[in-house]
Amino acid sequence: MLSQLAQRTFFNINIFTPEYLFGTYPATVVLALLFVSLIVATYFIGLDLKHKNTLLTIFMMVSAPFLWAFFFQLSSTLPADLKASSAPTDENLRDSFCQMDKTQNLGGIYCAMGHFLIEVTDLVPADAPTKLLFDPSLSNYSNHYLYGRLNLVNDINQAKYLVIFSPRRNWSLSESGNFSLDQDGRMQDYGRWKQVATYHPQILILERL
Amino acid sequence: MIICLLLFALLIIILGYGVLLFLPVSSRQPALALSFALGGGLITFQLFVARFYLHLNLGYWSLYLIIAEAIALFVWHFYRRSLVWPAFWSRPNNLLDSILTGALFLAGGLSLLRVFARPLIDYDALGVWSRRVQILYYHQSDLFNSASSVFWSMLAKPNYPWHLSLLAWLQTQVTGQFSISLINFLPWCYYLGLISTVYALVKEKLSRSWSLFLALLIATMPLVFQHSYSFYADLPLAFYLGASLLVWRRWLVNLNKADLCLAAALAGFALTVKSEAIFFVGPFVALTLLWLWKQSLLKAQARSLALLGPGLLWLIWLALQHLGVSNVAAGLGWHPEVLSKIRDAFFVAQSWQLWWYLVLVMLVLTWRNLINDKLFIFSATWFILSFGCFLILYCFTETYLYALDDTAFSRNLLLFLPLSASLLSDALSSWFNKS
Repeated sequence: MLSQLAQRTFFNINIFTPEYLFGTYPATVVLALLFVSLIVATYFIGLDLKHKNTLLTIFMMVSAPFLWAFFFQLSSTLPADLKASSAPTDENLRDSFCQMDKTQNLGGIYCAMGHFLIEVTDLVPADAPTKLLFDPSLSNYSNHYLYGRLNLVNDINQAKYLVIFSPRRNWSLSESGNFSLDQDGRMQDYGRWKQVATYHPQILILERL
Repeated sequence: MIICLLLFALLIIILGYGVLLFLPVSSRQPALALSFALGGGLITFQLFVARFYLHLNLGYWSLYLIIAEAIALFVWHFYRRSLVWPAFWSRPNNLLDSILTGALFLAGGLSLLRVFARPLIDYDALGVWSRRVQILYYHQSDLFNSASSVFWSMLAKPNYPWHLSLLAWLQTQVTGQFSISLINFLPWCYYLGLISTVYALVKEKLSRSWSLFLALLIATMPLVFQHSYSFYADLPLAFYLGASLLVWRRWLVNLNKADLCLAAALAGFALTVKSEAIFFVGPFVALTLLWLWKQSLLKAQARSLALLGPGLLWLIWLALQHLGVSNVAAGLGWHPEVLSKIRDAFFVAQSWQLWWYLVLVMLVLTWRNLINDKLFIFSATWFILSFGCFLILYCFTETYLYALDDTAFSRNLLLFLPLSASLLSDALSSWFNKS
């Protein structure tokens, strides 16, 4: 139970989805029924529910499985968290993206992006004007992690480097190095570039010629 | 680095405590949490005025100014002989309390470990809150350069307040770096603050064991724990609302003006944390005025509400920029499909464990006694009014989409934890005291 605490996902910041007992019954509902049953049972047994320890004991009994699951799950990630707490942030960032990708079956794209974002800073000079070309769903990450580490510009025409991570592929690069980008349905040419690094046909770094 | 982070937290607490010392002793508990709330609010209020109203570039001078203020306050209290060190800790008096205290420390420690182990990757934290810290840290002048891509109004959700980002910016000045790991230290501080506040809220009515146990339930809620190391504004807002509620409930009983001033200031700071605060501060003001009117104290104490000022200054700034607090797309309609989602968010999702069931069952068992409890009636009315605002928002506006896709409503429930803790403590208290 509560395995979500041990994982990294997109949605856990918004909600922890129900955990089911015996296949179909949400754990919260099962334990809530147990809570009500215990109160009713205590009444019939004749225990004094007004005594503060009786009710506290019932509260603790029904909460115990969740408290146990909470600490159990956190203890399962303790060695990894301890190791990560002294590891470089970049390494943890890459691992976090890969974990999230794996947990949610995202096809490896986030894991690849995590690696790419870290390697880009080794290959592109920090002061060179650089344009990022990431798919819209990923640009939030690239803009954040590379801001302050690279000299980012908005206009491709001002850029000396072009960092592309765009599986959507709304651009093309000819064999002679001419780069064009889809602008409102029309391919616009942005001059000649050479490949500095290529990780995948849609993941590459270009330098203006 | 840990020392720098501790110094940063200490600076906030010292400044806040310097202000807290002006209040009567009875208004100062829990000293650490209230000092942190006051200190954080005062710091970000000043930084906001300096940056957004006076257009001053924030830098080390801001840090030195805050240190100077903290020193000046302490010198003042020292010479006035009003400097009293707070009692932060008292020994548990039985085995159960020791175990519960240990479990709370363990939860706090495990959360702190994740602060360092898990860098920020949450979408909105990056796009909204942390992005602002980055801009303040790297290219602050671009924030007010309309030709820049990071001009303030071009940022995601430009009408969201700046408290969290400004305070995190101050952290970068103390630590000397912007880090996507260290930035999560601030939510951890708010996590501890929320736990302390809930403990204090319950302790006003119940035994220490009950207070520790209910605080532990809140601390180990998966969603609360997740937010304890994620740079979002929901947990900080829950903390400010909880702190305000705690002091406000004291005021409802003792009608001490100092308590009302503090409650109003904390509610005002809540407005500078996240826009949703308006759904809580509105009912807070209405209920306060109602109680003042019933007690014939309108003339004597209504002016205390002027301490909502920091929040109002933020709203005025929004109005000057022709922005509202709402991020809701145009269009009204009835969206009953959200009701099942709302039910599931309360009672089926794992986010809150059994919390809402415990609250509900105890309220059902004790409602006959509670209807005569003034404190309960006011707190419950606050809950109902605030929740009503969210219900209207989700049932009748385009925001319903964020309930259907589980991206916002469940998080909004975080804000109701302190209020629900106070209702639960009222219910339990009446249960034990019933003849």
